[in-house]
Amino acid sequence: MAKSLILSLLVFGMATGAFAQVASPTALNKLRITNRAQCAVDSEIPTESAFIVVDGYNAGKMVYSLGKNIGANAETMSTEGMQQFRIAVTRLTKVIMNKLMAGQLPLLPTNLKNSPLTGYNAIAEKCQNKTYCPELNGYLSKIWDNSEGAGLRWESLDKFNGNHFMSMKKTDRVACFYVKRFSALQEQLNSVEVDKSVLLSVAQAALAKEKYLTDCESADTTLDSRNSIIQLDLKIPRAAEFSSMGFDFWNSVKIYLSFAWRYSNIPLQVAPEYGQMFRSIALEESIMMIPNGCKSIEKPECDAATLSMNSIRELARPDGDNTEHKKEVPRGPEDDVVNRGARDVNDDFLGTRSFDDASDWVENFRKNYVSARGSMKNRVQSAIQFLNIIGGAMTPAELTEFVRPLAFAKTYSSQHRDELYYLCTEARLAGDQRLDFMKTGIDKVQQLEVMQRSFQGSQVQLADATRYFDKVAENIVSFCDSLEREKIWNVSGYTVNRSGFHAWARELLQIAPPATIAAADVQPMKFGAPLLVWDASRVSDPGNSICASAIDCSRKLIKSMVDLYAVAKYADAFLPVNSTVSTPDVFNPYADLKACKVYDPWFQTRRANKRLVADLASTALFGWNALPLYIDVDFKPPKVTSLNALIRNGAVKFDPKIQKEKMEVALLADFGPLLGAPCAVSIAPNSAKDFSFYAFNGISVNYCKIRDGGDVVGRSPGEMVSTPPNSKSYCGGCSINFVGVAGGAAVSSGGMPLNPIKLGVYLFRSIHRYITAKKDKVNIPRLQEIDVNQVVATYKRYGGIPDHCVDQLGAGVGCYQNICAAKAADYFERYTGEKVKHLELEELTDGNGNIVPSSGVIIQSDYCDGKVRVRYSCSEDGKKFKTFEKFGGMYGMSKDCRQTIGHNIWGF
Amino acid sequence: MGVLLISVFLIANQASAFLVESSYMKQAGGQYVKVTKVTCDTASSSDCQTLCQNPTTCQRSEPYCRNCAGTTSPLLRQLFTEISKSYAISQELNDRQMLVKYLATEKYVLLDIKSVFNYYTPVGGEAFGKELGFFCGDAAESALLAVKLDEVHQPMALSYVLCRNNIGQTSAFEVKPRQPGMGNRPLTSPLIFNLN
Repeated sequence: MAKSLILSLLVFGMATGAFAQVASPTALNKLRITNRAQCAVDSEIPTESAFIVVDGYNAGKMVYSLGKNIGANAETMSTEGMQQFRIAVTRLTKVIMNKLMAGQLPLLPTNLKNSPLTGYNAIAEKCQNKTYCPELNGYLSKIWDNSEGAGLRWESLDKFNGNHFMSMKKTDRVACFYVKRFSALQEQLNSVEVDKSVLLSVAQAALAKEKYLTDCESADTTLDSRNSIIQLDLKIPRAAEFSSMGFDFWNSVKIYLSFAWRYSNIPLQVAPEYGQMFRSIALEESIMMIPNGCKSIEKPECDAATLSMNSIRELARPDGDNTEHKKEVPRGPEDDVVNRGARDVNDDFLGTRSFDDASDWVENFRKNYVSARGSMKNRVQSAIQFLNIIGGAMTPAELTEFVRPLAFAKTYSSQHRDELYYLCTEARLAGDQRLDFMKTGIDKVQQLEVMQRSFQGSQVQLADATRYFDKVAENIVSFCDSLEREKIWNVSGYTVNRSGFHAWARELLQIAPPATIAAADVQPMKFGAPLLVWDASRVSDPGNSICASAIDCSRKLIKSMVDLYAVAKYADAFLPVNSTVSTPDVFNPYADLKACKVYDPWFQTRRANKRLVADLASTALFGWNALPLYIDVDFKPPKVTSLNALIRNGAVKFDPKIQKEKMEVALLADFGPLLGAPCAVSIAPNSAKDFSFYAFNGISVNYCKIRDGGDVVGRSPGEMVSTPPNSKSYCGGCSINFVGVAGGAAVSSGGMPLNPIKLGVYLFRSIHRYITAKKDKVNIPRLQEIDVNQVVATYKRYGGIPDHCVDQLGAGVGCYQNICAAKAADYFERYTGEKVKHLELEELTDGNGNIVPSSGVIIQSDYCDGKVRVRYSCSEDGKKFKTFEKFGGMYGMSKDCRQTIGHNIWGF
Repeated sequence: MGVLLISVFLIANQASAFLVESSYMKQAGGQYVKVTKVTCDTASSSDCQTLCQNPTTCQRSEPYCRNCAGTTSPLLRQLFTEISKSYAISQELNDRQMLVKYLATEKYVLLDIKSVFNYYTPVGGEAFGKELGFFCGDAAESALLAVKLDEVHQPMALSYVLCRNNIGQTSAFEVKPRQPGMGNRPLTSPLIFNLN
């Protein structure tokens, strides 16, 4: 019925008022609260907020040594140096980010395949096997100079076009904080859902923000600069555009940062005394960039580089001092991804808040990281050194000829037997192709570019070393075959002293470490003078021996290759083989899990949709008639059973082996319609199916529920476990059956084939199951945002967070009369740049004088003198908010406002 | 070939034998820099003349050394922890012109007992002093390791060990990686038969 509506404005006299009092604003980005599935989805989106973890040790130690050299107060200088280093890193990063966003520096593409930058592509090709490349430095210096005003046309430097430049208005677009203490101001790391308590803690943290954050360039001497964490929030006006270029943005930040640290004068400006010396600092090992939440800095791939880099997160745990990285022979990061699988996220699993100061968290993280890195560097450098020594001293044939007489002696002492036992066992573990414990793995190491780079500057290259090892191993294994045939270890009274194995072999053989230090100190047996010494003129000097014997040399050779194999598992994350800073996804384990298809954030959504279709089809087939049948369809998620390592272009790519998604069908016999009895029987291959016959929970009293570990989507909030069922059985049960009773009623009322009650109940059940599935709080992607300033404003206004504000504040907007009004206010503020001072809901009265709600609000602000009406369309939950296109849906209710908006073309 | 910037400081009343030293100074702008100072006497004045067109003293700021303030470089690790094991003197450099040319044209840094790049043993400590003493004897305190940098300023090779001799003059020694010995046993003599 058409209604003539008379517009009238009624102030919605909500006692609470609709005044958006804006508190002193914090420049933090909105907090992006995500559940597990959304976190996985987010991993493929470039982040707009990141941390820089700054380790001031290298700077502090250098300046300390300088102080000692010049006879000054070294301690004071060291503290000063660390502070200046932190500020210099921060300033330079900010400058680069701002230059990129303002289009003063071009974006350097991550993906070179489609890049039109022929100059850059050629250099990248040329620099492929080098960690640092002079050609790249030359290229970047021209670009940098141009960004500083050299005045060249960009096209003259390379084939730059508009796509290589961001075009945001030139202003400081980086909000930068020194994090004193982790708090609710980083709530995205701690919550998967916005509720009242979350909002309260955000408000309280924001009101006391000086306890938690301060300016990142603060020179306050009480701030710890030895271990610090800096938060950088990018002010991106158009998030959609950033998602397409964001990864290039971060790639560019990293490249320019490493370059400009040594080239630009910015560190010198910040560090007026030490800036020059700072250029020698190993910047890339002193800092790390990590996303502040689930989004990423680098797009995760299912490869060794990503997985090993992201394995660093385990070191950031409070108990991260005993991770796989320190194992003699680690299984590799892929093992954790496949076998550990789904896990909790955004519950502060890294314990950021368990430390009083953020710097303590950083200290623990860096201590664990530096310790693991140190161990790997030592292992690889010692291995390379030994391979050079042995390769330079003798050929593989010569080495084995030295072993021969020791292996085939006339008589053997127990120690001698031990020595040969160790040699043969270790040679078999590492070098016997027939057993292949590690041989194939060791062979593959030589193909890895990251390991080849570790040999830069070494006379012996990785391929040479591998060939050397192969020949020695082949000969020794053949010796060992002979020794076994001769049964030299099957001698009565002889038992091998298992403490003498190298640690890597003990670990593989699961031999407990020796109980005492003395027991562990099994020295290699001496067969006369040492075989290899550093200085032949000082044979007997302590520390001059390289190998006591040919057996010792061979075992050290094997150990060197095992060390290379072990280090190769995490080389990308720990060896100094990259010219840019590391950017691990520390806070999001689902970056790896999604990239390797171990977790599919959309599976539960698809499953709910497909089940709805199947349920509706079943309802259509059986719901209307008296047939006592119902077909239940469910879907088991795909499961990654292993990750096959393939080496492509010198890098390990993992190829997930996937058990495909499987449809499971169960036939349910519902006897209610036939017997008029409330009974139903399930016939399904998996008796533990989580299917309920009944539309309502709690009615069922007696149906089969055998747990068999075969759940698809689990019990606690959407736990995603996809273990295959380990038992199969069929079972039935008899319960009060709503559907059955309904069906029976239909039969007894005259035997009509059409059964509207049963149809309705079946239909209801289908929808009910669908809605229930869609409410999965864990595995259906769900995103909420919190605008810290709006939360503070609400908290101040009400002295707390009222219940009706929770959903609105969780949608990233302020608290108004309803979610749609809140979205309109948010829209107005973003459109005009002015704060809403007063907001009223617009109401309409129809011709009969009835008040009807309208899709509009009336807003007062400093934007113009008067009121502005904003009209929109909006769903009840606010998710489909849209203003009318013309003038942003705004209409000025005063002359000034109409003029400001620009639709007063007639001047009244 | 690198371009060497030589700044000249004429110290009128000082002249000694050819001497290479390394120290820190504060530039006019306030920045600390490491400088290599070469002093020449009358006999060696032509060397300084060649270096910086000044007959008595030359001074040059060290270039930056990529990643040297840290634990990234395997070469620095080797030099600071086991230089005496890894390197041996091959010969004393008799032709000083080679050293002068090196100082004038190459990109290098000088490491000494108190080097700020020593992240491996205590700075000024006994451990590194002992290692340097292996090459320079009692003059370990003033020993210098000349480390050549590559195009991207990474330490590339140990070029010379510079020791101050007993008349206070710098002697340069060429070094080579040590070839491990075979424990006094030639490969062709299998001494270790029938050990038991």
